[in-house]
Amino acid sequence: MFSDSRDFNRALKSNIGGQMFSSVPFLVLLFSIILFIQSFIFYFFESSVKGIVPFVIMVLLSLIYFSIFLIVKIRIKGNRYSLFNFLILMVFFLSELYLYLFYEMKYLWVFLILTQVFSGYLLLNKRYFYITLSIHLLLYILFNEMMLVNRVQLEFHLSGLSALLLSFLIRHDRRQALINLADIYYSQKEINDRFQQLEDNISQIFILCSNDFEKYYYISSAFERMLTLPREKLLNSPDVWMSFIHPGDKERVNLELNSAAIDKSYREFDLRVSQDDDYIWLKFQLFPIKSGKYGLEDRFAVIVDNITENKLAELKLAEAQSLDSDFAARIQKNLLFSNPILNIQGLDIAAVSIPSLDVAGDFFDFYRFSDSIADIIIADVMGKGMIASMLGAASKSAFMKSRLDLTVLENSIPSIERIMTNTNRALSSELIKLGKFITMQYARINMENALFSFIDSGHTSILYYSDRHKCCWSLKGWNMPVGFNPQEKMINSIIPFNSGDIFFFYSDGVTEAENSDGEQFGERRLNYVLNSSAHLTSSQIMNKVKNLVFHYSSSEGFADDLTCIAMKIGSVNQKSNIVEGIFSGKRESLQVIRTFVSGFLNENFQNTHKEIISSIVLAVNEAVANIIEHNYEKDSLLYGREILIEAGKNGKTCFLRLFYDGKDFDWTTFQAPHLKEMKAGGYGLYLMREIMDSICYSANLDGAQCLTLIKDL
Amino acid sequence: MKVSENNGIRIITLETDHLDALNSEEIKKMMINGVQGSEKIVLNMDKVTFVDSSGLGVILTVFRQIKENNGSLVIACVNNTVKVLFKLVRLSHMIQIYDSESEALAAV
Repeated sequence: MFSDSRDFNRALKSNIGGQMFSSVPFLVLLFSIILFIQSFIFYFFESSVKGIVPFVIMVLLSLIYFSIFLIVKIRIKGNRYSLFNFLILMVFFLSELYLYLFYEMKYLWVFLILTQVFSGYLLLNKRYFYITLSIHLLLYILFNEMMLVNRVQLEFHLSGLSALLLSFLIRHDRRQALINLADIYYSQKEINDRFQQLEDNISQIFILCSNDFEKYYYISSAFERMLTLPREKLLNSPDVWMSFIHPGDKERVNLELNSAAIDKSYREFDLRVSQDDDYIWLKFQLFPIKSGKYGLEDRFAVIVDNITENKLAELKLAEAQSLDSDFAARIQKNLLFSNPILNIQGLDIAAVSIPSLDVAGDFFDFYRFSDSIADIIIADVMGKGMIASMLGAASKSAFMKSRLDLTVLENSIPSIERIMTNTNRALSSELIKLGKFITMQYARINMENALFSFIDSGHTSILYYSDRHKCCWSLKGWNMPVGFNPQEKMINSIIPFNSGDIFFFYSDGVTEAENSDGEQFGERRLNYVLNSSAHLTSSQIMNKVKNLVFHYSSSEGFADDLTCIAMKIGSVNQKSNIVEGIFSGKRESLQVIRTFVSGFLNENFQNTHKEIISSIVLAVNEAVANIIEHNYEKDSLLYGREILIEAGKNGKTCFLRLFYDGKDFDWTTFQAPHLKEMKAGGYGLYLMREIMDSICYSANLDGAQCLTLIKDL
Repeated sequence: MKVSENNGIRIITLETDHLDALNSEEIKKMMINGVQGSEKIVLNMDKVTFVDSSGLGVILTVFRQIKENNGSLVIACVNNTVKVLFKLVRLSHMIQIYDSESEALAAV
């Protein structure tokens, strides 16, 4: 496998030689023991002739030699190992030579053979081995010459030859074994090196762990690059990484891991972990694997990918679509969406629309009439694609035209009912032909008298955060979508507002955004977000909603356009004067309520005609009688509940807010039964509509209902 | 409620000051009984200061019953606050309304 001697030396250095144990040492040991005992006997025999000194020297030398040999074997490695063995052998030779020369020890040749065999085992280095071999041959010839003088000894030659062969054999065998080991070591090392290169250069984290995630066997170095946590920490305490997970993801991750531990199957999930002050997105893939050839999957191989870039890119991409040079996207950007800069004192407004993959027909528009009055449109053309988009653009300009026509015609700011009625008439017949319709909210904000009015044509409701009540109301209107009926009578709903209030318009893409389980984002979540965002600016609120909806539905992307407008009231010059009264929800309270309302009106609107005041009292009476009859008397659970009435004055405007418990009630019936029919009932709602400028119904998610009656006096 | 006769004309005088969802059912029964057996009826509302849509319903129910019996009904002495309601529903198109009881008696 390898011929380079440097490799061989490296193999020796790596202590493999020290651990080797083949059949050779046994053979050497056996052979040397036999020779040793033989020479010992010879020495002993000769000692009677030559004296005790050479025998003692021989025994001492043997002891010293073997103990040094043992130390060298244990402590010294590589080239120095061969050198030491060589030196020791040389010392041994010289001492034998000494014994021979000075004491003429006859049987010294036995030692010659012994060291020859040893050299095969000890001197793996070529140079030392052949030097020792040459010295041996020299001594052998020398011995032979001296022996031949006396007599020829066949066994002397035979044992010399066999020692020579044996030393070669042992050396070859041992060398081969070492080479095999070195081969294994290097091929293993090669595998390790390749793996190391992979590990160092791949950005994913690889983890090998037990199938209950209690024990980690391997974690790649990318872990330390991705998380600022040393690998050893995780190996020692497997739970430590849980503290890095985003609190919102923890429960889900635990669930995934627990279920994976139970059914031992493939899993894939995303999660966020904290890094410095920020969060990064990680994608986890869990593959069940077997550690052995047989048996069950007892481990998980985990691949972790940093997908933060992708996640951010998805969001960027979705937003960038409207900036794309693509034709369709350009239509959406330029024709469907306007800049929400209105420049109205005390009004903070922000809008965003993120189109789905298809072009759709969401649009919004803003129009500034004066320093204090502006109109806001949010609309959704049914369907998707080019047609919806074109219709959106066409409708937008139709509104613009109506606005302009009416302004010229009336020489004043036209009412929103007029604008809507006009536009509806112009658009409906075309829309009916095409089989399309538009759901929309047409709203007007008037900062001067602090009133918000809107016409709801079947669109998602407007969320109204009231700073006074510290909760969100969902404002509902009464009209059908544009394109249903060209003669639709538009009904205007008006509510007064105050500093700190927020109006939030949104398309159904917000509440109908689905997560991977098919659960919708829903109005409740949106309500919660708004309730907790009252202190933010409108663009902060909008971004918060956008990001939450995006992360909620991130795995699926946006199925529908996501459009929302946030409008926050900064400061209102018009301070309202409000009086509250709480009344028991029984018919007996009607008289008290009438007194309360007429008292408030007479005090606050002294110049107003008494007839108007009594008509307002009548309208409130009708509203309360309706609430009692259709809610509190119908449902035994609600019987006797209270009604809270807020009577307020906003400049020249009077408003009455009735808060009550109960179900949705359809306040839309404005067509009274004809008097000639002489029906006993059904005039109440008609009277309310006739008397008041607007009746606005809203509800919050806790079941509270609110009816706002308003009249300009 | 007070019922009296004057030259064969029945005069019904409402004694309550309000005719609303609270007492309309009760008044309706009383009035239906009160108009029985008479063709010409004057409804004096001098004391009534408030009528709501259910009160209006009572008047219309009674009026319908009188019509069915080929009788006639006029209303007298309507308070200003009640007039507001009558104006809103244009009741005068169906029922004559007079400022005094004597005018009503003459017209019925």
